[in-house]
Amino acid sequence: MILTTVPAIAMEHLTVSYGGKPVLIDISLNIPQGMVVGIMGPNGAGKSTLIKSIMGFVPRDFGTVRLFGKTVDNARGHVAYVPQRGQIDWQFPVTVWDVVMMGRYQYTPWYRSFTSRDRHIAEQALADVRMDSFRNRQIGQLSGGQQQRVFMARALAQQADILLLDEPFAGVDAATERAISALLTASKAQGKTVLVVHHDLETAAEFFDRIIIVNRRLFAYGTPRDVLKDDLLAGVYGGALRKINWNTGADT
Amino acid sequence: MNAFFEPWTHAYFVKAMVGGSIIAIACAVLGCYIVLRKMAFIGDAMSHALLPGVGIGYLVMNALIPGGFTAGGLLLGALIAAVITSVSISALSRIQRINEDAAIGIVYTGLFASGVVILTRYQQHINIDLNHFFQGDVYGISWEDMWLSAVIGSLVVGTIILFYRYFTIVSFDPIMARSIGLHAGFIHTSLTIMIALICVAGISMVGVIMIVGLLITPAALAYLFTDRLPRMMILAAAMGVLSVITGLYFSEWINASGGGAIMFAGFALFLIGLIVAPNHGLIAGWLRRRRLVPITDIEDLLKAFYEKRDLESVAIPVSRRHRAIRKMTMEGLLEPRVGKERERILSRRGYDEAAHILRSHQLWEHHFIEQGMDPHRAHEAAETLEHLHDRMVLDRFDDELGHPQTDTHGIPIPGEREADSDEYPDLTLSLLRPGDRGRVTGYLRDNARCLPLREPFLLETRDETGDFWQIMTSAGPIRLNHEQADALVVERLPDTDPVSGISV
Repeated sequence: MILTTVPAIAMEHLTVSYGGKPVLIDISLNIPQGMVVGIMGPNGAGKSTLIKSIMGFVPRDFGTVRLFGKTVDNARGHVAYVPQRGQIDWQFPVTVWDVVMMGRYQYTPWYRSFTSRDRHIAEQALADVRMDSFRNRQIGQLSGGQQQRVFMARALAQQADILLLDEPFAGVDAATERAISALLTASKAQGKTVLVVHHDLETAAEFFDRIIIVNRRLFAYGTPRDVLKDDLLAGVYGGALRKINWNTGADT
Repeated sequence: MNAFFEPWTHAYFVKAMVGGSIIAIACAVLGCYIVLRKMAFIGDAMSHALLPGVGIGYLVMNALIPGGFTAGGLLLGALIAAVITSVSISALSRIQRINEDAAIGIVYTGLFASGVVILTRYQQHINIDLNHFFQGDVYGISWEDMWLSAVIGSLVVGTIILFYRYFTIVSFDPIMARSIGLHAGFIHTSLTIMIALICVAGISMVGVIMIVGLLITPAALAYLFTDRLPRMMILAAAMGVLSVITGLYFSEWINASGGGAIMFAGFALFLIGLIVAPNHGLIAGWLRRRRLVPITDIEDLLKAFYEKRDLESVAIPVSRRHRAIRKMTMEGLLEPRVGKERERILSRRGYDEAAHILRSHQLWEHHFIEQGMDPHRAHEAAETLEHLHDRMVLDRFDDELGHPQTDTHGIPIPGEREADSDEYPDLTLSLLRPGDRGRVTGYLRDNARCLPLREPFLLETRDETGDFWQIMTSAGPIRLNHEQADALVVERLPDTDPVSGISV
């Protein structure tokens, strides 16, 4: 049982560097459970490093990251990661079902096979994202939005309490955007804490409860209304800047 | 028939079949991961770089126990060479300006060359020569080799079956693998060591080139045929064994080198597979391209139906035209004429689509003429560019030209019938034609709030130059200027009279 008063993610003075170059500088923040949080910032601002530090992939120079009060290493099972679309080889010979079952690997040592409970959980996860009728498809034969949903299902099957999504809205159509957004809301309803690396300032307010604006340092953390202020954004992104769609670089 | 059974009476042939098949199966199963992880070049490099390890291992073993158990020395030497290769490749790639492929090339040729030096210097002490290293001697398999390959083969296949999930997830999604505590580096190293083991077991039988071939070719072939990894492994193993069987027969019949014949058979199988594979094969690709109906064909035909032109006037070959018409019927753009089932007419959707293409042509042409292009060239250009009929572009032209109702030839330009689903272009009042009914669903600018939402209206008239739009509402007539007409987002209400059918 997890006490609801403990923050899902607690960072204190987190400082990370690569080869002498600081990437994250003195980041301290608490993310309560059951929040959908957007991580935003310019390219090279350390957004992925922030995600990686929650997964325990990057050595910390200083500071701590605690998940539900535990160290990252002791909280391995609590975190599920949904990769960027570009990181996956979509020709890889696995089916939708195979991918979702990967969510059960962490509960299944090599000498044991999957139990009927594992299969039941995977089926439920597939149904949650409404992909159950696609279970025998090879993943390359799905649309972009369906692919995204399969990986969401895998994260659900992991039964993790924290979901990390790396740019799920990049390059998807309007319908998929709605589907993913609905999934975020549904995960939140199940008490999960969701962190999303996101690019588009325009849509940020409708997707997230809280927004983290990071550019090496923590520039802002709060509700969209508090954070999405022109003067604040101009400070982070530099120069005279109105609302910029960073995906295309087009001024809108 | 004798040609098939006679070889089995020779012990060497039977041993070659059994030994070759064991190696082929282990190679094929391991090869699936090599192919999927795009490690083929590393496999190639690894196998060649083993030479000095094999040579030194042999020399040392022979010095310790003269004439004794050399296989153990070979194995140990090869493993040490494999580790050195692997470590030095990754160390070299870390240096700036040396990419991994360059590092592989440097390391494996260097190690291979040192092996050549050792082997030629001590050739009187080593009974492996270079020729043997390259092509093996599948008909001279010793029992020692046979046991070695059986043990290593089972070890490799057994490891992959037991740790299948780990190998798969690390190959497929290394980040997730790491997040649940599996280390990609460890799996990568185990694959490398397995390559080295198989090379040692197989080199004396089929030689290093054939080992690489058996690792890559059957797996690549199987990948063309299936979407499931377990099936890919089984199929690859079957293809490997089939290469061994056909290759050995082949070498018996024409008296050629066994190892060479096996790999040649594998290559031939690959070529056949490449041609006939159901989805990714050459024939399948050719058929798919043939079945593909160019979208431009469909659009040209739509326009011909719309303008009630003779279909012969559309400059596409008859067979392609029939394919296009079949596809258009399937997609609901055309439908059979009632009473004359063989005849096709535009469906409601086809009619709208055709009007849209025609509008595209007219607006492009109008646009070019406005830009001062010669009318003949403008027509030609529009004929090509009409297929770029993105609403965003067309509506922009329409607006720039003052929302003309007829084109430069005086032919009416059809209006758009509805907003483009999902995408940006709303249907604005300025895009309607006199006689259209609609209601306002939104405002693009605040100063256009002159009409109440949801109130139905009828567009009565508008002037040719685009200065005013006159609409009739329940509250009476309203005259809108261009700016207001552009700012009112409307939904078109259905016509009272249906579109009359258009025949072929």
